[in-house]
Amino acid sequence: MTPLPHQNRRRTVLINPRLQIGTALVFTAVVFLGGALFAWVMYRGSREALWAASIQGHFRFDTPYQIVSDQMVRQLITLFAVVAVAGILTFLLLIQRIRAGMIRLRTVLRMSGEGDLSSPTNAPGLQDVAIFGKQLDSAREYTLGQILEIRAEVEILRKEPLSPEEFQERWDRVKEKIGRVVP
Amino acid sequence: MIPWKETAGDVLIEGRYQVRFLLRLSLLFAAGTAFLFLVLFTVFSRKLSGDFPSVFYALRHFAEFLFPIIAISVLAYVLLLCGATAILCVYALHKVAGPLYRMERALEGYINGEPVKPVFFRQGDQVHPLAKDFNQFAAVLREDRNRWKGLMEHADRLSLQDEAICRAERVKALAELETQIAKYH
Repeated sequence: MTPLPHQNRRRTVLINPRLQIGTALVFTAVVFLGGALFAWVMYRGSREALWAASIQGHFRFDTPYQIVSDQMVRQLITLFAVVAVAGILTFLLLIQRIRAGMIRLRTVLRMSGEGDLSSPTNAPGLQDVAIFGKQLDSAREYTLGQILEIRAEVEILRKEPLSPEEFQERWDRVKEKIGRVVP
Repeated sequence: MIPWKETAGDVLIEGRYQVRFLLRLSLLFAAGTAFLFLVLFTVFSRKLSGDFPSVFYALRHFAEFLFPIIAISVLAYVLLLCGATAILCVYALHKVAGPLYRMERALEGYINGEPVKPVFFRQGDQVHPLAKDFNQFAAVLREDRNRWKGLMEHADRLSLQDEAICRAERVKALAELETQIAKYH
């Protein structure tokens, strides 16, 4: 039998590493970028503030926190806002891509139920959905192959002048082939 | 023929699921930011004591070590948050990946000649409509298969009579079968 393209093997936790870890990596990139941006801005701002404060040493500062607290809190709030907004947008984009592919899959499944087993799925969006579309195409192609075989046998039975023995043999073969469609 | 059922609740990914995910994600980001604040607060809360020159040198010295201090704090923040986000993604996307995986297995089994079982759902699973359409597709095929089989069995039952009638009935059944099969292309 023909194996399906891109088979997933189940893990205990990761059902689909491409989808689950792939999405986690996108969020990681968002957090990393936000963190890197924060570190750079915080470093520059704090350094300047500490240098400026060192020159004004006659003012009393108990801790460096008193010098950088305002900008630190402001930058942390900005960091949270930026990372949260980017994370939300990433998630919404992910959902939109999943949905786009699934809508196409649903259309193809309905078309298949109505008899179209040959139009390719070409599901847009996430790679996993596209891969499932290809697997679905393989199954549809397999079904169509079975049906075409039955059709060819039926045509021979109807049109060829067959002896009773041969007719019976082919008749039984058609029945057997029909039995193999969606067991 | 089995009609394609469309229900009002045919939503691929529920709004409640999305809101819950986004809330958890925002909470994680907030917790990460609070953690970073605590780390930086602890580092920056070192006491400055002494006269003007000692405070001057302490601040200058501190400014020079600022880069590794901030870099390590942010690295800890990134690692902590990435770990937590990865766990959230693995846990939450289970609900999307699960039904897809079960449909893949069903297709694999079908191609290998195993009986096609309906795809089942766990509590909280998403993409229900897709799995329902998949089950319905298999049901339509199975119903057609049964109809074709029924046509042939009906002709077989009549074959107990004489040979000419038997052949005529079978040819009639084949003509009907050909018409029904023609819908698939």
